[in-house]
Amino acid sequence: MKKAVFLFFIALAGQASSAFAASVVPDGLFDYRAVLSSDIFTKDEMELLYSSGAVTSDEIAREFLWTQLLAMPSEKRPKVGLVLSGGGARGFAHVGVLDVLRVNGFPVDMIAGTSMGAVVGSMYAAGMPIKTLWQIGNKATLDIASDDMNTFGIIRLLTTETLFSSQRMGAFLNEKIGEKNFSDLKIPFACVAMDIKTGERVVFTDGDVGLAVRASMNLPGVFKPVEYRHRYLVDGGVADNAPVDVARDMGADWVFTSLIRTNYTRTSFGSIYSYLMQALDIRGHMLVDESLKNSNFILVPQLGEVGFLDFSKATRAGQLGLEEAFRNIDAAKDSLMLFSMGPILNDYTRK
Amino acid sequence: MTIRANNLRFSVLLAALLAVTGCSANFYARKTMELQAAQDLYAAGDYINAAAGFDRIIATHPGAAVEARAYLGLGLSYERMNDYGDALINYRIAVQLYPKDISLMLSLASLYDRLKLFPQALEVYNKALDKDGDNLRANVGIAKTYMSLGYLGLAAQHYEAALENEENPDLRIRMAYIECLYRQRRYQEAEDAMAKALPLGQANAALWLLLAEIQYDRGFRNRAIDSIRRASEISGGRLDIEVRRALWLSTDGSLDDALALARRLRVEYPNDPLVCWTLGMVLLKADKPEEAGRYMKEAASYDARTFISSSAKKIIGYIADAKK
Repeated sequence: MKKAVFLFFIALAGQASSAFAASVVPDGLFDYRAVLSSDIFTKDEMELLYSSGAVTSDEIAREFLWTQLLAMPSEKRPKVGLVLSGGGARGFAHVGVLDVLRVNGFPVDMIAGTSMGAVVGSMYAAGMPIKTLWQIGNKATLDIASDDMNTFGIIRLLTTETLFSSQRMGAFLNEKIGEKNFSDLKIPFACVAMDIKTGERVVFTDGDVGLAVRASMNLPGVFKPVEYRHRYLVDGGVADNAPVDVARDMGADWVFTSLIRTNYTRTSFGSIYSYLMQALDIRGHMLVDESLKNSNFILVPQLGEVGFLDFSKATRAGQLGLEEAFRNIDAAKDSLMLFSMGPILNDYTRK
Repeated sequence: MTIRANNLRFSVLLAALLAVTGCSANFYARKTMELQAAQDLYAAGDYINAAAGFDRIIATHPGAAVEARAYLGLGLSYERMNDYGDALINYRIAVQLYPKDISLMLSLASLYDRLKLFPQALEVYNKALDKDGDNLRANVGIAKTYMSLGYLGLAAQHYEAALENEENPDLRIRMAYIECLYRQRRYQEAEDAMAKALPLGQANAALWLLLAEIQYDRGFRNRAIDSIRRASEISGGRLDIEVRRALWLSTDGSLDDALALARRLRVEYPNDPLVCWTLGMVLLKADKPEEAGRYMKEAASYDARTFISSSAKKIIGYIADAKK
């Protein structure tokens, strides 16, 4: 009897352990894929992975007209001006914007920039590949602008009010693009500075590019004014942070503006420079709004997390610029195509 | 007496042990059956009852192993019912229960991607790739997410990784890679990749269309028209392909053929704004501005928010100016 009970338990245990083993995979984890078969598990995902989305009617019409526009000789289509505003480290967002414009074949016939917009714009106008611009963003630090950008220099600035020299910025630019005059650039370029003595806007369209860009990004109160033809030049952002009318003067029929905006209502004041920057920002905003009325398309990258002097996040600014431009590139294309409809149709209907 | 007592104690212990083991085994076997039943409901498309089944398993059988499967099933069911919020929650719980499992992570990442939560999708895809650097789905998933964000260069790198690691990669991965290169205007690389894909996709209309688009953009218009004709034949005259063919024929082929095709499409699709717009364009090219204007007016009337409508209005203005 006892033996029979014992055998019954053994049999029960055997059945139980085999059932248990069947639900366990060798590595000790339950294999849920045995229950939820792999086909069911991956079907939706695979469809999602491979689907590129349905093409809309608008995309077909847009694609056709865009191809016509790009195939036209440049002298027959409207001239496209690109305006790159100032914005400190946030201005590296322009690199991402330029990347998207380039990938889409967006024509850029001239560039006008202020401050960081002048730095990025001048390098692009000189023919620097976008890839190199991204690399510069990766390595960007504040001391690119000046040899004095170190602890000693900052203490000296605060205690003796000795302004930094921005010569290093000019040297940096010359090193990157070579010592070039405006006439040497592949794309016509202009940049804006301000005469600190007269408050006049100074537009550079000829001469030494390095010096002009240095003047355009020469932050007042931090860098010594750049002396040029009896003028004392500082950052153009104070006078004209988005020089749309400069692009117009250069001959642009249609203007695309990449604008770096700061939400100055959220500034936290930590130093005298934050007050100074705030004053410049507010002044810049007031003037920019007027200037922008003359722009056909305005792109404002959302750069919340990147600060004005946050050069360690320059690449992030570029990425945010790229994402914003990518989201809006169809709208920019539509705007340019609608503006260019006459020339496109003239070319299309040409026998 | 002592021996008998020891035997008795041994038998009682053995019985208790086996009873526990047996109960445990039955417990798991029952859960597996319940999971199977819920999965069957899912497979049959009864997502409501499948979700209820998975939910019941979670409620009655707590324990990480079974729960992970049930949470996954629940996530899948909710996703099928377009309840993405609940799907997301259940995938996330499943991943938390089995953080080592790549497939669970990929389900979660894929849903993030679908919901356009791209940074979250990238984070989870990259975690999956950290565990398995050659994982096809992780590479393709990252590539697709990068495409959505505009990082086309990075997307191409991950498509390349996916293609390198597969002996016979799915044609769709090759096509996605070619499209990625094409959108960056990396035409030569796109054509090289096309040369590898074309022998595998001779009967694939989308592939021929992609080839045609590359050729058209590069200025090889006659070749492009041949390729799009092939795409049209394979697809049985798919509308988006036929519309492009009509427009391309109007610029670089036979205008008569373009007009005949556009008119045929108009008969087949009398209420389609794109067809209307296309016929208007071809008529304009054929120097029939009045008729073109009529079709453009119709195209403009459909949906004022579309590019078709706004461009049609501009074209109407152009025709009116030309008339003056």
